[in-house]
Amino acid sequence: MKSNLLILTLLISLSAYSDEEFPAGTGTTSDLSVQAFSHPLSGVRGEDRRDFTLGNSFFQTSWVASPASTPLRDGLGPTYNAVSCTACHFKDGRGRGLPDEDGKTDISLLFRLRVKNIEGTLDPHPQYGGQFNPIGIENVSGEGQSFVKYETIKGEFADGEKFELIKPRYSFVNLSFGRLGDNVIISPRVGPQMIGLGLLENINEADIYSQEDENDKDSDGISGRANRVYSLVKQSIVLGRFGWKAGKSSLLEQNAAAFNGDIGITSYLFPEEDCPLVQIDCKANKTPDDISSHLLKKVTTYTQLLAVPMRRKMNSPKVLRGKELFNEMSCVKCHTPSYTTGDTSRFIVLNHQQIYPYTDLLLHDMGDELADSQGDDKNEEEATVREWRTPPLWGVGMFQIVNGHTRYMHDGRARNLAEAILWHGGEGQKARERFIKLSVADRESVVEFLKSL
Amino acid sequence: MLKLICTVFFIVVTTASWARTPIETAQQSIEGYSNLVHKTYSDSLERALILKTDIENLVKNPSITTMEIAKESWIRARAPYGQSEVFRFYNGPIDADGGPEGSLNAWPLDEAYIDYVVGAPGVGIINDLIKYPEITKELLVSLNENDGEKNISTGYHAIEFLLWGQDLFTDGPGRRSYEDYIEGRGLNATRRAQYLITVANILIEDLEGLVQDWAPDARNFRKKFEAQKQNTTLKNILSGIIYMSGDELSGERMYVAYETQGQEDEHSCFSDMTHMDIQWNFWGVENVLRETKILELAPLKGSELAKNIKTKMAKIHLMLSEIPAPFDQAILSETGRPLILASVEEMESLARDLVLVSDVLGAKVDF
Repeated sequence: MKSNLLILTLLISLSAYSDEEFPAGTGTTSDLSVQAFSHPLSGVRGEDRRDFTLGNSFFQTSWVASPASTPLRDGLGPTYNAVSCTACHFKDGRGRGLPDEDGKTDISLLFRLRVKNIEGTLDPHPQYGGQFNPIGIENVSGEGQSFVKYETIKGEFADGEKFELIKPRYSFVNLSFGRLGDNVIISPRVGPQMIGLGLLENINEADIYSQEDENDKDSDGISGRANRVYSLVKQSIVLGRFGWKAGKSSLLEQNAAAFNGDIGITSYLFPEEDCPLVQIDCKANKTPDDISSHLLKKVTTYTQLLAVPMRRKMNSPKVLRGKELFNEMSCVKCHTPSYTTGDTSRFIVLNHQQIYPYTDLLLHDMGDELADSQGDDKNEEEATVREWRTPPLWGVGMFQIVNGHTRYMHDGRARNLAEAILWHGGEGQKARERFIKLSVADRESVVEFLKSL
Repeated sequence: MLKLICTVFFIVVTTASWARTPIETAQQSIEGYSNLVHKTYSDSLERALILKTDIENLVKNPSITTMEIAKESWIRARAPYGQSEVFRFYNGPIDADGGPEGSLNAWPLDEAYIDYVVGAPGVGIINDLIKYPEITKELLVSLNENDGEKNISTGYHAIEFLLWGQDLFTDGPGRRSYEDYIEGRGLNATRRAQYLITVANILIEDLEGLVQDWAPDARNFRKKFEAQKQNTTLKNILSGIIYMSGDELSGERMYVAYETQGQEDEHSCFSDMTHMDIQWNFWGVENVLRETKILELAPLKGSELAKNIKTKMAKIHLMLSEIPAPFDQAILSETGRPLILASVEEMESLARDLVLVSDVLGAKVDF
């Protein structure tokens, strides 16, 4: 009996061990190359795989202005940030957001613009709309250009080792419709990695809501709450999951919104481009129904079925030590390691999977340094200017290979994973302080663990 | 738990079948593959060198004849290269990080990124004297896949566009005039000529690198490839044929065009040679099976699985040859469409069988 138990324990631990190596469950890809983020979940076959391929083609398509000889791919603008999805999610990966030195911001970084109205709530900017669109099609002016200037923030670890962070200060020049004004609230957002999104979409709602602790009843300094957002598809308030502030509830809506806001591609969900009253040329060049619902759904299938690569060096002593510390530092309180997905997806590979995304999909106040502005105004549905959704950590160790950079946080201000931890404030402040107190070897272990994800 | 037991069972079963494959035979398969890769890239280089000579003649002496000769050379150069594409999909020299795949064969390309198009006579790198005062190798390399995967400045399809021009015709390929290369007649003709010569040179350099990577008896990729664990190498070889038949060819190159019915989704859209690209890609799969004799390895030899695959291979070969040319019309026609869809389905089924092969050989490919 005793030996049976032993074998059982061994088998269970073995099974847990072998599972975490495959963060997306059975569909995990073993490709660890520059293509690591671009595979369909393993096991996707037949028509689903074809749809994935078709969606991929439209994810990569360079949209052109209407009318063009390529009717399926026209409707760009009138103003836009990029001509394709892949421009900001290159190789289905993550954009770098910011340049190495002071200068023009990267194409993968966009800015949401808000101003306070008389009631004291936030509205889109009257002259520039809800999102800054730097480029215009022929005969339409782009809105301007964005630049960054870094300010150095110095700090010190408990062991005396010094560190420096670079804080971005944004400026907008060559503005076509006048100054942005002193009261503008600027919210920068970088294009994140596309992997495993269908699995995140298939996490049971109850598993997200159960992690909420809005009033911090357990007094651990962490008070995650869900963004509750209006769904155009369901026509009701539902759980927000996607975007840097969890502003969209489904991939279909997230994709349709990104097509609309970033490329100027309209669809049945977002039938009009964002052209404020003063932008007369923009208004005159609007185009309805740029992408059909059929193709929008194929692109959505594509985003639902992208695989997550398997972990590397998962059992090296450093990685295991780092994992232990990640737990001890309470990082796991927001970066929830694992879920079992629900059973309602029409794609079998998304159902009943043990996955390891390291996120609670909840909003957290991340402190003054990361906030869009001072104050506590709602910026995107329920999410305030201070709140950010915990981003999934799967794939963070692969950015170097897939995208050739190691930039992190919502605008890419962190130049490596250690800096990403050091940028945590607000509800992440305590974890940051614990990191600062670690020895060099332990700090390296935490980073090694993150790199293995 | 059940999953784990199944996994253990599976490992035992596959290890057992693996044990029945004599090691020498698998090694012979691997060497057969390396020889095939080296020969295919050598042929590609040889024909690219002829293409380069013919391009130089065209640019020196633009005429209908020199233009047609250069086009003919391009088509001949594509045949071996198309058959080499099955050597992708496992991070070998062609498509590892920094590999030349994107430089050689990126498509579909936005032609307006390179040169004028109908309705926009002044667009493209060639006509932008202010931003790009001088057309150099470094410039074109740096602009390839810059800010978007369709911003293609180099490779076979850039050359194709510069030889044929846009295909605006239902009854044939593009009709670029040789006068585009005569200064005083074509706008920026000298720059266009410089562009064409430069991309031809880049093509040669890329192919030379691949030939060296696969040369026998050298300290190169091939040496590592043949020395690493056999089932890793077999997995690489099988990844190539599985992804080519199940994704790249059936999906990206055929199904997307079938579904969108858009000319811009055909592989060689300027020259109307897509029907041959498709066949060459598939011949690449045939070449690998023939030269490696993978289906003759002990656990597979004479098996139902091996027989099924051979039957399917022969069937697909015939089906692809029957798709009417040009492909941009076949995707619209009542006779072409069912043939295309049937070929796609047959290749998907082939890919599934090949995954079983990888499983039996202890070299399981994720698919």
